[in-house]
Amino acid sequence: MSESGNKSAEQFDREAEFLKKEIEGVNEVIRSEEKIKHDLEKREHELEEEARREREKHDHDHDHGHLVRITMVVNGQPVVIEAEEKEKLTEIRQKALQETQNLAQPAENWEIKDEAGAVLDPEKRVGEYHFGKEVTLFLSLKAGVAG
Amino acid sequence: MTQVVDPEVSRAKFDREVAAYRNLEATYRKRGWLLLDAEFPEIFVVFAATKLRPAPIVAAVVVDFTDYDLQPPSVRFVDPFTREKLLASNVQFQMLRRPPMPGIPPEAMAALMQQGGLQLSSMIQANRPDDYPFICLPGVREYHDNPAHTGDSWLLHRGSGEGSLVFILEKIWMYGVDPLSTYNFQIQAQVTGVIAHLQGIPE
Repeated sequence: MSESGNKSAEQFDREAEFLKKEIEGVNEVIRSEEKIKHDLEKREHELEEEARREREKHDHDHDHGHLVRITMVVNGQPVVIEAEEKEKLTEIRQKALQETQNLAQPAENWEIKDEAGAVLDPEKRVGEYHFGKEVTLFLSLKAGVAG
Repeated sequence: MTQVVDPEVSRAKFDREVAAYRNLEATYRKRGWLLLDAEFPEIFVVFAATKLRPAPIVAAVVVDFTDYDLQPPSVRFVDPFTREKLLASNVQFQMLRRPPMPGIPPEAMAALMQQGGLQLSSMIQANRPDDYPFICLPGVREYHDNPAHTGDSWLLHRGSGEGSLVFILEKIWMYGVDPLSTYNFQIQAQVTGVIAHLQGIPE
């Protein structure tokens, strides 16, 4: 005689009921785990998005370089120019001359000098001189040719 | 000098030049420029050669803005203590300029100058030793007033940046003061006798 042959119909019902509850419990765990998985996937996506934005921002900053605050004194008149490190001094000179309306002389006639009076190369980039965050430079008109 | 322009106009432009100078006075002082007096129409500035120790006063000028800027400023060399105008024979100061030689390294240029292979021109000119010297530079009144420069009118330069206070002072400094880096001594010894060592004198 089989073991099941000794059980009554009520016993089978109770066991079935028990298993049904067990299955519901397992389903509940599965749903909960799926919710966790979904939340984690959502967070993963958010982090990836954030990483992409940071990368883009970094690339943008790298392309533009750091800004240097240059006080350009044009014939005694100061003007402040925010310059990128990749910009050439000749571009800064042009901006300073335009802002101070000193346009009567060609830009090449204005020498770029530091505080000590040393002449700087206009073809060099701002970053090459390692000015730091700010610097004062002077635009000095070359002496005219006297006869 | 005659004031033809409305004096208030010249005075306003004079004040603007002085204000621009005062704005950066600390920087200019580091170069050895000392503005001692600024009362329309004159500005009195002395120059010290800061690369030398002790730093000597090597030049003093009065920049006169009378009739500015229909006329450029006048520049006269003066005694730094009495402010009296100096004659050419009394000016012990030079403003030397070399011809442009692009691409030549400074060392080679200096060697050329030392060997006399490069003709330097003096920017301080005078008609006679007993005349007042002037800076031969566009933007300076005495240059434009000189009969040799009638073809180079100030009005061709006015508004270009030449003739401003800072422009003039910078050229004096650049060509005359900044190159000064060593004292030049000339010692002539004359033997006047001999001295005995006192402890060596016997009884």
